[in-house]
Amino acid sequence: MSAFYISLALVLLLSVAAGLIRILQGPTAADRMMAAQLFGTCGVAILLLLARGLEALIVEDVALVFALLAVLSSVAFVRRAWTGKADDWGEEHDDT
Amino acid sequence: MTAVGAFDILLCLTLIWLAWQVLASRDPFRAVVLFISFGMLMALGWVRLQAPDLALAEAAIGSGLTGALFLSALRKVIGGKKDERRLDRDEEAQ
Amino acid sequence: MTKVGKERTPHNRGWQRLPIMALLLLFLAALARAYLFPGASAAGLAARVDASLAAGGVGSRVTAVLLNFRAYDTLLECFVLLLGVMVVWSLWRPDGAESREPAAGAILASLERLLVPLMIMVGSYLLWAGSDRAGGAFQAGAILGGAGVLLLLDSSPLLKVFPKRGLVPGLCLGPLFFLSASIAAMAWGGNFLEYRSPEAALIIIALEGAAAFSIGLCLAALFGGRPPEREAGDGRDRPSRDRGEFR
Repeated sequence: MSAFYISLALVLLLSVAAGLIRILQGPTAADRMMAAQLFGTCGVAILLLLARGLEALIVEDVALVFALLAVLSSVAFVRRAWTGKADDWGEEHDDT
Repeated sequence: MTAVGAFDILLCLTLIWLAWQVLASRDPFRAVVLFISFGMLMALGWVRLQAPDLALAEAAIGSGLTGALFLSALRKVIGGKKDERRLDRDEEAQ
Repeated sequence: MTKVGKERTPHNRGWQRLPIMALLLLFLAALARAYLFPGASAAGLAARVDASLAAGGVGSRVTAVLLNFRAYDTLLECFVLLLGVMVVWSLWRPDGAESREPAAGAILASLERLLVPLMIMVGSYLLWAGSDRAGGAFQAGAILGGAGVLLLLDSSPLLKVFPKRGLVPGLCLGPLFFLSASIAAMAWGGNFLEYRSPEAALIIIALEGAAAFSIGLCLAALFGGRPPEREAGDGRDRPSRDRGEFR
């Protein structure tokens, strides 16, 4: 059963690696940030699977912290980087 | 190869590649997002190295706090973007 | 921005890279050597830590090392964080970015209402768990700091609830408590930073609580970057302190 959990974690890690392409190419800033958020959710799932697969329940605590704090960077993105415009960001700075 | 071995190898390769991309990226925003992702995967790495204390700290600081800090810092830096663009043009003219 | 970046290649001169690459390869070789041929220090200190764990007052090795056996590291780290806040505050320049920021919408406000209590709870849990599992003051402090950062990002109205005068004493609480506890240990007959078994557990828990609180506050203050004194004069002293980048 443990090998099954680890294999599932491996599949999720593969999907994370695939998400990297979106970060590297991502035409807009939002694409990149959403890929990073995918890493956050996938990371929580991987950690929970690892906790079962390796029978190290402390890893569940790590997953908890991960789930709580991964949201910070997306909130920071919404508040500090995203302007709602399509492709560039930070363009709201006028010359005044 | 066992699943754990494959997991570790994939994790290591992704981490090294991410680190390289963070350093090689010329777009600061892309570098920041890559760094956030690097922190998240690094937490997985600490878990695999059986260091849950470090994994906790990395999950909290690497993925959450530095991400927010870098994005805010980037915004301050981009405040001087217009100057930077002028500098770019000067460099090209030379 | 990607397009702009592609044209700009100031670091593409190969010969400049060579010494750095050589240094890095040397470093890598040294690392590989240390890993492959560990030598005398391979056994590490784990056995000694385990032997004296009973005297340390806590069940977790990491916490015992951080807060008892090598407590001076942790003490200095607390002061380093405090120093960091002082440096950031001294570099603060109002640039009006805060006033341009729109108020947080309903989604962010409810997210904050949901998450901040959860973060405080999980932070306290990690503090408690730190005595016999993974966790401890730094992890708990980081999560508390995360809660603070979330409030700051939302420019939450909750921030006004906290007394501004309490910020500096709150930042200093952990390091000063740490310092006074270690000096008190001398008065009780031990050495500086030496807690003996019967009271060690209690002292360490109290220390961790204070340290986590201050670490969280420090991280949030580092993120906020604004010293509390200048709250009122922000708009007025702007021209003199402007970097002049929009001239």
